Amino acid sequence: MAKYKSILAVDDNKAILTALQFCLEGTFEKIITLEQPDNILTLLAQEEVEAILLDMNFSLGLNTGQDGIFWLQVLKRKHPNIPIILLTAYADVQLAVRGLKNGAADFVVKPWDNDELLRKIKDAIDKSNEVAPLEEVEANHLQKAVDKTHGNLSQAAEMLGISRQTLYNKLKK
Amino acid sequence: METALVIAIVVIVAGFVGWTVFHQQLLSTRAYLMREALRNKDFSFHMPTNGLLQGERDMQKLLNDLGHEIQKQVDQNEVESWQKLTRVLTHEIMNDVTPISSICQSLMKRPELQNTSTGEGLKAIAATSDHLISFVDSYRKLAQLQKPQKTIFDILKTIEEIASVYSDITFDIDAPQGAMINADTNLMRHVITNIVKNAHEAGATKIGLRYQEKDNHTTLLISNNGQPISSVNAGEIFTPFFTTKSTGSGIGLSLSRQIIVSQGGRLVLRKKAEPNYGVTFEIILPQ
Repeated sequence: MAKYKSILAVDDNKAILTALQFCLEGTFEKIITLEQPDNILTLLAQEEVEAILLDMNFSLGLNTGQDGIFWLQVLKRKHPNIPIILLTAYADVQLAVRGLKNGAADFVVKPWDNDELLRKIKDAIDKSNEVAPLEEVEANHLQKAVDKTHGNLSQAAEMLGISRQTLYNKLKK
Repeated sequence: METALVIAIVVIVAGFVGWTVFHQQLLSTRAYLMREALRNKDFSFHMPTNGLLQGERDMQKLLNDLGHEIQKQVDQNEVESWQKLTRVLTHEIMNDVTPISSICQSLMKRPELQNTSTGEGLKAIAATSDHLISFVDSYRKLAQLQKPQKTIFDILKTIEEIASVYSDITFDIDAPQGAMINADTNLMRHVITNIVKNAHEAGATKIGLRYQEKDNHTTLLISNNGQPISSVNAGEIFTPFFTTKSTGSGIGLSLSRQIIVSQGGRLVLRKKAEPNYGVTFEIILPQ
């Protein structure tokens, strides 16, 4: 089974980085680790990674997950196509929701089950690599517009910026 | 005639002065009693207001309310301190157990370690860390109590549902028909279940429940005839991690107290149990 290429793990706990290396070495060819998030962007400018594992808390005593969300937002802005999986020691639903709303692909609570972690990472990478065919995307979008106007094709066509006739033809297909 | 008038006035004034002195002494006695309560760190004055003049009655009511508010604040501070400590502790522990658990899992998979003493050693480490994880996991709940959604509901129904689970315990319920409380239904169910479960584990065969409404508060007295709680343990039972059971996590009563405090109430162990019972817990909630 071909291995995935590379992954970046960011956590201020060295032992956790070691644990991740043990866990991921069978699945990834290259595992890059960082203890501090400060140089993430510089590193990503030089290395290509398929996914990022990001710890939510970086300073001892600052147990709110704020640091993690900040870096999540930065990464999503600069590298929107790399899936990010958050790691945290809090089983906090609100924190999880915030993470997902800010664009995280998934959320893992410490301590984790190795197999489950691998599964989540692979799913996140596979999903982000999926490119849906244009026809499919267009058909879904058209349907959405028609649903919104409760079947009023003229209105839907106007919202979509095409003529009613064009819309009709596309739907007929 | 004049002397009679003078004597009458003297008597009336003396009577008035005497009454005033006597009344002031009563007030001093009240103050003394409240001070004694304070010395025992008991802020819940419930002094009666009979025999007082109007202004004094209002002052006494204020003192009663003040005492109650202080007690509530003290309870809340204690709960918050435990919450903060628990949050930091669980975070640190879970962070440190993670590599232990994960590296063990990774190593145990290696084919060359199967059926070796190293493999057995790793299994033992993994099992111990799993146990630690589930222990600490129950404490994560303590740190994340959701905001209570209060409704006014029929408490007797909740109690009947819980009672039906414990068929080997007789429930003696002393409450008026349609007794309501203002609280979060699920959280209250959790608290009462916890108290009943503890009673069951202490060998109780009878549980008594008394419902009272007094001074804008609803009180539930839950008693059981199981093993009484020693005075040594009584001071500890609401402390997180404290347990007398070999398989206990020590979270039940501390979580229950936290739930009640978060709804503006109190959960205490009565110093003296209700008659014919060994243990009585008191839940006080605002109406």
